[in-house]
Amino acid sequence: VVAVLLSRWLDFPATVEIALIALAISPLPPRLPARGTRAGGHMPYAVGLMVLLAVLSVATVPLAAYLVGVVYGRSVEVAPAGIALVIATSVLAPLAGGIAIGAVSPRVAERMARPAATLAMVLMPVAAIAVLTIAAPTLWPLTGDGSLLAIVAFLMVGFVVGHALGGSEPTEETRGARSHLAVEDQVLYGGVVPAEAPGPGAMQVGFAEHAQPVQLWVPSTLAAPVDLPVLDMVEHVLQAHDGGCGDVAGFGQAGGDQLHGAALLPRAHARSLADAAGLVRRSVSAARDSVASMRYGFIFPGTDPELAVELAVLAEQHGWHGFFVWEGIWATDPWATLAAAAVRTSRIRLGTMLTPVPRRRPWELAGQTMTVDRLSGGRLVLSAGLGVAEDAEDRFWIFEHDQGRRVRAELLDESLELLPRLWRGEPFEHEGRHYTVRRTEQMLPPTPVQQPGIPIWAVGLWPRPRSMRRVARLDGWLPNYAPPGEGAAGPDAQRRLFTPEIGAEAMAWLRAERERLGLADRPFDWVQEGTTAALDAEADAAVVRPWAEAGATWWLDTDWSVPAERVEQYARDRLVAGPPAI
Amino acid sequence: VHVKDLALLGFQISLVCTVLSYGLKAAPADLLYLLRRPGLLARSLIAVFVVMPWLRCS
Repeated sequence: VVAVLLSRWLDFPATVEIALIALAISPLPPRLPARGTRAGGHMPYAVGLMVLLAVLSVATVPLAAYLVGVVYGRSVEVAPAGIALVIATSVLAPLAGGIAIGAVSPRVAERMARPAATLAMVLMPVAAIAVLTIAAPTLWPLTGDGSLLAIVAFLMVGFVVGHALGGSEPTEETRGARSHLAVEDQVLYGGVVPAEAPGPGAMQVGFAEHAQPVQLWVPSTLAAPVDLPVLDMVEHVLQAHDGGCGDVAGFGQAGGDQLHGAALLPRAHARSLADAAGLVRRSVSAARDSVASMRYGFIFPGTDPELAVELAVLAEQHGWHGFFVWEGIWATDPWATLAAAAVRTSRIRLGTMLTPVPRRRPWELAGQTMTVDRLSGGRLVLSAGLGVAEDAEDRFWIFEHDQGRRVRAELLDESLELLPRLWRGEPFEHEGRHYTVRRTEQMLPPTPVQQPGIPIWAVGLWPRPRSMRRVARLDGWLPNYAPPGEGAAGPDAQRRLFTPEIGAEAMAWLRAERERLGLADRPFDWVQEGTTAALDAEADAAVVRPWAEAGATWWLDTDWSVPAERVEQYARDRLVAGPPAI
Repeated sequence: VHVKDLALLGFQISLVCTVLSYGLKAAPADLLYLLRRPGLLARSLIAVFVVMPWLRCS
């Protein structure tokens, strides 16, 4: 409407008809509900469409203007160069600038985004009111001949057409509504298949309308205010395994001696039982894959470096996939220990569990990790955490005082930004809040074996967006959980409250966020810590299997409660018994 | 400076800030989102370049 008013008021050669056509092909960015983009919803689509339309408008706007001229018998000319200039300065340049800022410093981008959006939101109506006031004499006749009504109707139709053809990915509000509809308004197809199903023909697919989704994995927190309700979790899980199913959702769960599968299809898409059977089959297969691909590591809870190296060798000999040592402040040096373990082993992953990165100088950490990665032939993983707070455990704070969680989070973010650049071994400059790097061409270190860098697993506090967004940019998630309305749970409460279902929800959120960041194709680990006693294989499997089924990719076994004098025996026994078999 | 010039400037700044705020939240891969989804690309282009102009002309 504003565009039309402007055109009339400023005496552009175009008429209302031209303005309407221009509206139809306008490369202006589609408006987004900010909340809807938080879970990775429309942002890539909006940005992609905006760029495409902006580039195409150099050709389409002059063409449309010409066609309008032909239809209405007027001579209307729009120079492509003029359009290109407008598009370049008002769309492409700010967009590229924003993306560049985000790429160089995500923190600066995050700080700038809100003021920029607010300024845009405030200025638009102010300018519009000014135009409406001045243009009132021009506007008034439009209300009489129905032109204004036509413009409004046209915009409404445009909204409907765009929604129908451009897809309607759910916003958070509609997600909530849809999850409640899941049982009542959709047809549930479910099947129960023996674990060793000989083939697709053996699958039994049931049919039930308005049935309780008993075989569907329903998160325990469905009623809680979480970001992704059940249906979206299901969709994301299936999309991750199946390359995208659009508006069809399905999920498989392996449990006990049976594999359960369920597929939810919106009523309009429930074409046949065969479709549902295919979905169930793929879902079950995805669940089976996730169980088969689980890897197992052992965390040595002791302090003796010589013993640690010996145990790393033992771990490799007995089928473990990783060996980890803990990192303290006044303690055994984990990097020297891992360096020795690196030259004595050849296959298993090595790492710390975990490194309080804000307590470390990033360049020293980069050098230590690079050294162990090279000695191990590229088998190191860096586990990064905020470090424990002084008021929680003051034994880690005997040399200095805790500057607080916010400062530690800033230090962690800046270190995570610096480490990949330090690992590149090339000259660079950095001016951050806490660290400054001056450029040098001399004495540059070698690079790690792993490129583009050593994988980083980071602690993420679910469901805190800032903490989880940090994890989404990295290579793996070390779960920490804050129950709704509470702070982070302590270690004991953590084990009791954090369930595989909650973890699966967090992973679905992480997958969506990684898709938004363009990282969906890169491997990502969910690293779950727990304890198995190796006394009863079935009991151990029962502990680990739910995590594997939920999508965890690493199981790190340890028992921190073993007293110091028994640690050696415990570690030897646990490693020799081998990892849990599920 | 006339009010209408200020209003125009306001629109331009608003547009630039809107696009900038998208850019700040977008990843480079977002630029190619539609090109990687030919079906959605085709539907979007039909909506913009065929259906809407056709509705107007009819």
